[in-house]
Amino acid sequence: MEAFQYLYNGFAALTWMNIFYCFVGVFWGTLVGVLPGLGPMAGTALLLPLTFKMDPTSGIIMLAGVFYGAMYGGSTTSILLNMPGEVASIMTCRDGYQMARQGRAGPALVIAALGSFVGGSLSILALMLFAPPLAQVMLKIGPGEEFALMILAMLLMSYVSDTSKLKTLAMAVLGMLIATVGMDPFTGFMRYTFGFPEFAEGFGIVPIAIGLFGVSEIMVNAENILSVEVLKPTLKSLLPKWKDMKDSAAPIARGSLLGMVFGFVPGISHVTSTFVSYAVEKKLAKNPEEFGTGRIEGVAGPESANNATTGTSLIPLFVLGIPAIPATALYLSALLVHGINPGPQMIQDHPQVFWGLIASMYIGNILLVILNVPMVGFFVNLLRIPYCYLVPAVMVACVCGVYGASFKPIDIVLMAIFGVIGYLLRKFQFDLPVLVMGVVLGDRIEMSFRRAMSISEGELSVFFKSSFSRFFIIAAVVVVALQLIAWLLGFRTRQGDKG
Amino acid sequence: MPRLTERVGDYVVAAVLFCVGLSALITAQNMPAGTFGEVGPGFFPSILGSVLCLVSLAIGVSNIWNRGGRETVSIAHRDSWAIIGGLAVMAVLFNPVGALPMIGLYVLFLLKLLSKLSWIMCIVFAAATAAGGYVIFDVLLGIPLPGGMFF
Repeated sequence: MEAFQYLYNGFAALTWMNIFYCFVGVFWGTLVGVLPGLGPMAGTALLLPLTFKMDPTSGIIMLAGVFYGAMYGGSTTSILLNMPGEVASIMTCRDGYQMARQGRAGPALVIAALGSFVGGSLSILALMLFAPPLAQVMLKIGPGEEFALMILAMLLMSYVSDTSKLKTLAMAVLGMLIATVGMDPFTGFMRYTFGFPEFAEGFGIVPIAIGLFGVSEIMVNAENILSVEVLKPTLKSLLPKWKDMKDSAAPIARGSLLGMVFGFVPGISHVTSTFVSYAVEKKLAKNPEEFGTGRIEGVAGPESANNATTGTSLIPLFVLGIPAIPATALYLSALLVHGINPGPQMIQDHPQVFWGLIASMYIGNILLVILNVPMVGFFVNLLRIPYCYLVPAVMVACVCGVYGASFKPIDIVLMAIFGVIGYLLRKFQFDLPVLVMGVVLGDRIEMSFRRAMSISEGELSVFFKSSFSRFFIIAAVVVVALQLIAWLLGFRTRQGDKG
Repeated sequence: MPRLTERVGDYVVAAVLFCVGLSALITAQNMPAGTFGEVGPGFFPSILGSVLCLVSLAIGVSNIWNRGGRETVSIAHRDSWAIIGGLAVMAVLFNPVGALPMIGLYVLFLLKLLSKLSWIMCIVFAAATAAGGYVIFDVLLGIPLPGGMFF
C-alpha cells in the first residue's frame, strides 16, 4: 500500500509543465515510431541534449515518453505500409498489413493501440511494485559486487544479441575503451587526449549517441530514398467488431505477461518479446496456418508484448543502475548529468524523479491512445512527406542538439566521425547499442573495480566475499561457458557438414 | 558503386579494431599502471586494449571457418558520403561563419543533393529551415548558437 501512497504523491507532484514534457516525449516518440528510418534510439538521442537544461524529473519523463511512444507509433507503419517503423514492430507487419489489405486497417490499429495500452499499464504497475523492494535489497551491495554485476550485464548483453557474439563483445570492449578517454578521476592523469584540452572531460555521450544512431541512420536511408503508397483508414472504419475484441483479449493478456517478464532481461527485450509472443499465439491457435493472412491475434499479442517491456525494462536501471535496454542507457546519461546516480539509492534519495516518472507514464499511456486512434490520419499524412525533406530537418536538429549540449564545435566533428563509424558497423552487422552501453558503463566498471581493489588492499578475493558477488561471478562464468559451448557445437556442426 | 562482401568487410573491421586495440595498449604503457592495491590510470586501458586485440583476432580467425558472408554490401553510396562531407565542412565553419548561414547552406546543399526541387524552391526551403532552427534552438530553448562573422 505504501507504493500507492507514493504514487499518489507522484501524481500530486506532477506539474502541468511535466505533463507538457510527457506529451512532447510521447508525440515525438510516436513520430519517430511512425517514420521509417528514425528509430527510438535516434529519437531519444536527439532529445537528450534538451534535457540538460530541464530539471531531472522533466528530462526523464520526456525521454521515457519517446521510447514507449515509439513502441505505439511503430505499429502504424507496420499495419498501413508493411514497413516496421522500428524493429519491435516487425511481427505486427505479418498480420497487420494483411488486415489492412482486406480493408480492416482500422480494427488492426485500434487493437494495436489497446494492446499497447494494456501492456504498457501493467508494466508500469510491475515497475511500481517491484522496483522499491528490490532496491532495498540492492542497497547492501558494495563496489566489488557492483563490478561483478556490471560485467555480468555486459556479458548477458552479448549473449542475447542476435549478431555474432565476438562482434558484440568487440563492441562492448571498444565502448569501454572510448569511456577511458579524458581525465582519470582518481589521479587527474590525462588519457588518450593527445594534447587536446577539449577532450579532458572525455567524449560526450550526446555526439556519440546522435552520431551512431541519428547520422548513421540518415546515411543508410539516403542510399534508398523511396516514395511510399499509404493505405489510409477512415475514422468510421476504425471501430473493431465485438469478435475482434473477444479474439484479442487473451493474446493481449499473454503478450503483456510475456513482455513484462522479458523486460527484466538485459538486451533487446522489446524486440525478442514480440517474436516469442507471435510464436506463442501461433502455437495456441486452432488454425495456425492462417497466421500471416490477417489474424488479429498476430497483432494483439506482439503489440502488447513490446509495450509491456517499457516499464519492467526500467527496473534494472532504477534498482541496479544498469541499463537493460539501449534506450535506458541514454536515460542513465541524462540522470548522471544532473548528478543523480541511478541505482538502489536513487528511489530513496530522489523519490520525486522515480514516482513522478511512474505517474507520468500512466498519463503518457492515455495520451498515446488518444494520439494513436483518433489522430491516426494525421500521422499517416506525415508519411507522405518525402524523405529528402526530412533529412535536412533531422540533420539540423542533430547539429544544433549536439552543439547545444556542450557549446563545442569539435563535438559536431565527433558526431560526424561516429556517424561514419556507425554507418560502417551497421553495414557489417556489428551491434551499436552494445557499443553505447560500453561507453555509458565503462567509467563505472573501472571505478567500481578500482574502489574494490583499494578497499581490499589488492586482494582479488574481494570479488568472491559476499554471496551477491559470488552469485554474479558464477552467473557470468555460466554465460561465458554457454557461449563457448554454443560456439563449439556450431564449429563441430560446420566441420561435420564439410565431412 | 564500390561493394565489399560481408566476409571481406569483417576482415577489414577486425583489422581496424586490432589496430585501435594495439594503439591503445601501446599508448597505455606511458600511463602509470599502479599496483593491485592502488590501481593506476594505465591499468584498465591496457586490459581493454589487449582484450580488443584478442577479440578482433578471434573475429578474423572465426571468419576463416565461416562459410557465409558472401553477400555484397555497398559502402560507398555517393549521397551518404556527401551528407557526411557537408557535415564536416559545416562543423569546421560553424563557429567562424556562424550557425544561421551554415545551417542554411548545408540545408541548401542537402536539398540539391537529394531532391529535384528548383534552385529557388531550395533556397526558400533552406532559409525557412535555418530560420526555424534558429527560433527553436536559440530563441525558444535558450541554446545560444554562434553568431559568427555576420551577426
